[in-house]
Amino acid sequence: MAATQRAPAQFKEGHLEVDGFQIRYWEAGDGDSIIMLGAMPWGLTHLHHTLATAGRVIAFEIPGLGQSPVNDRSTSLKELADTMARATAMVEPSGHTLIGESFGANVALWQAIQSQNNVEALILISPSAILPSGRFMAATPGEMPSLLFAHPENRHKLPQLDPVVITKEQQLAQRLKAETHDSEAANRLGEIQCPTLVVFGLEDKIAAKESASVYREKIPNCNVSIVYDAGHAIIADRPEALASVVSDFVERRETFIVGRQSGLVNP
Amino acid sequence: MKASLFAQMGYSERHKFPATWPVPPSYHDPTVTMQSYEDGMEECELAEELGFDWISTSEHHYSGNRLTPNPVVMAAAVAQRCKRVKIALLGQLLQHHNPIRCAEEVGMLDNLTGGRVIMSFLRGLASEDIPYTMNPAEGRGRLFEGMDLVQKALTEPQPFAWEGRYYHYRTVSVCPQPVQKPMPPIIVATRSEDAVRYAASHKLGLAISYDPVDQVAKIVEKYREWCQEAGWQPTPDQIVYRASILLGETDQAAEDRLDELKAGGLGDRGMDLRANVTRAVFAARDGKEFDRRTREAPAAGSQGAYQAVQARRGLLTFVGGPDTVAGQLKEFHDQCGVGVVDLGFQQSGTNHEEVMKEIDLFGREVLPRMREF
Repeated sequence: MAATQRAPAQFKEGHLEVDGFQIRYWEAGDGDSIIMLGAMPWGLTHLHHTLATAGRVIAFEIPGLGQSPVNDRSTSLKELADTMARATAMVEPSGHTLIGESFGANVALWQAIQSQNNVEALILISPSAILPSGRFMAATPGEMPSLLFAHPENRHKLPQLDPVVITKEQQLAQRLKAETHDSEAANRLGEIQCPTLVVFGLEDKIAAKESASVYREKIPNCNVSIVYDAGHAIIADRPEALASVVSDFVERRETFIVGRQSGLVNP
Repeated sequence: MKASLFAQMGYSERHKFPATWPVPPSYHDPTVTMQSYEDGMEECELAEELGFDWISTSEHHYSGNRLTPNPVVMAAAVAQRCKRVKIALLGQLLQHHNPIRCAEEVGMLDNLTGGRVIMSFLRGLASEDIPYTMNPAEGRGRLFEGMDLVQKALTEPQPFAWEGRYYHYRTVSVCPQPVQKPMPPIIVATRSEDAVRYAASHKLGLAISYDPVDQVAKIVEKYREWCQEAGWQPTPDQIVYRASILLGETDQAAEDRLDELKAGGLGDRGMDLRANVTRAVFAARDGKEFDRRTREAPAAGSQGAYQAVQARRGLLTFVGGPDTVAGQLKEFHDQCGVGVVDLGFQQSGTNHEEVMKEIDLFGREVLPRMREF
């Protein structure tokens, strides 16, 4: 995308009070708004910086994830999605692209279902809401890092995950039933009318990548992208590939299937 | 006038496809696919038995209305069952492929068929620009350079390097070389002025698809003018027209069947791109940036092709009993100089038995009359 020629954006940290939570976020760039939901376990990544060269990125830390306090208040993913929708409306009251990664993708999915008017495009990275086999792979905090990557050595490219944080996040996920198949979300996929991109790593050992076809079949305007040689943490295994497909979809939506890379050898 | 059977090899349950392209693979049952190929082969064998001159295969991706993403594979299979007819690759989307590989495949096929291959190249529908992620802005340049390279690769007696704009090879030495010398005939399938000019200036044939007779006549007139400027005139075999046909025992029978097909939604399913994707392809073909927020019609340069595709969808050029269809064919021969008509008998709602009956009727009642003009 042309905007990648700009200088790297400087992210600024901010906080919002929503539903009794103090929600931390980072913001950078200008232009169309791109809302990102994630745990932010690794802080700002190549994806955040790439997107901030093309639009206004607001990356939320979901209550209960990352460095935020334990979230014992939200009673369901739908309720947590409502909280995030309210947070989003405070920073961007009109249309925006919504991106969620991993647990954040499950929250983004519900936000898109419940707040359709403002979500102009939806991107789900490694979502685990749809689990044809019922549950995603259970893992201890010690096992989790090795399950995240296609190549374990890639874990060293990012800050080491804190076992305490992993345990806190897993407990929240269990309490909100985010580790089991969300049949209600599955039944409501057809309500999502905006252009949607679902991204999976080919070697994802945590989310059910075979669910990609379910999203593609049920969401009326859905594209699926499989990132080769990447696990659940695509941002670690193939950061450039992830940023390429996501930023291209943010810019062009469903027309991103039309190639525009030049094959010219010599003029 | 010669007759060619367009071996569509349509998936027999294609009427169940969704309207939009691409058709998900889940719509394809291998049992049905295998039977569809077998049905198509039977249609080819019958056409050859009845005296058809060519059998053509085409390149289409991600639908199943034509189960031929690789027309060369299909042609090789047909050639094993049909030992006399010319085998026309009508056509290949060369701009997406490695032209050397295409030349090698043609070399093989021409030897395997004893020199019965006819090549053809084209740009195709908007959806054809998508499967291999080629930049549509470069399709024209890749096609023209690719055609030059294929011709060189099939005729050059010594290894050579190619320093092109889109293709770059340090050693090219295609083996086997084709049986036909200097090479199998090439037909450019197009209605675009620049490609018609290319065909004329390179002494290649011209194929036009689905346009009405007056439009075909105009294109052929220009083609002949440019051929004259290049110092040659095409033979009848070098002016090809592809069309859909619905042949009945009588005009009334054909019209009645047409009404039934229309009621079922005449026209291939699984072909519709999202509107803004179509606009993006045509904007790119015109070398323009596409803004997804706009809802404008395609840019002027592509309007002709875009509108032509939209207008012709689901239309049948030849409809009627044998007398009427023979008369319609004669119009194309007399007004346009068409020497070969390439006919698709498989419509969206027709089945194999109907197609076999139509091919049989055509061979008995229409083909003998075509020989007279």
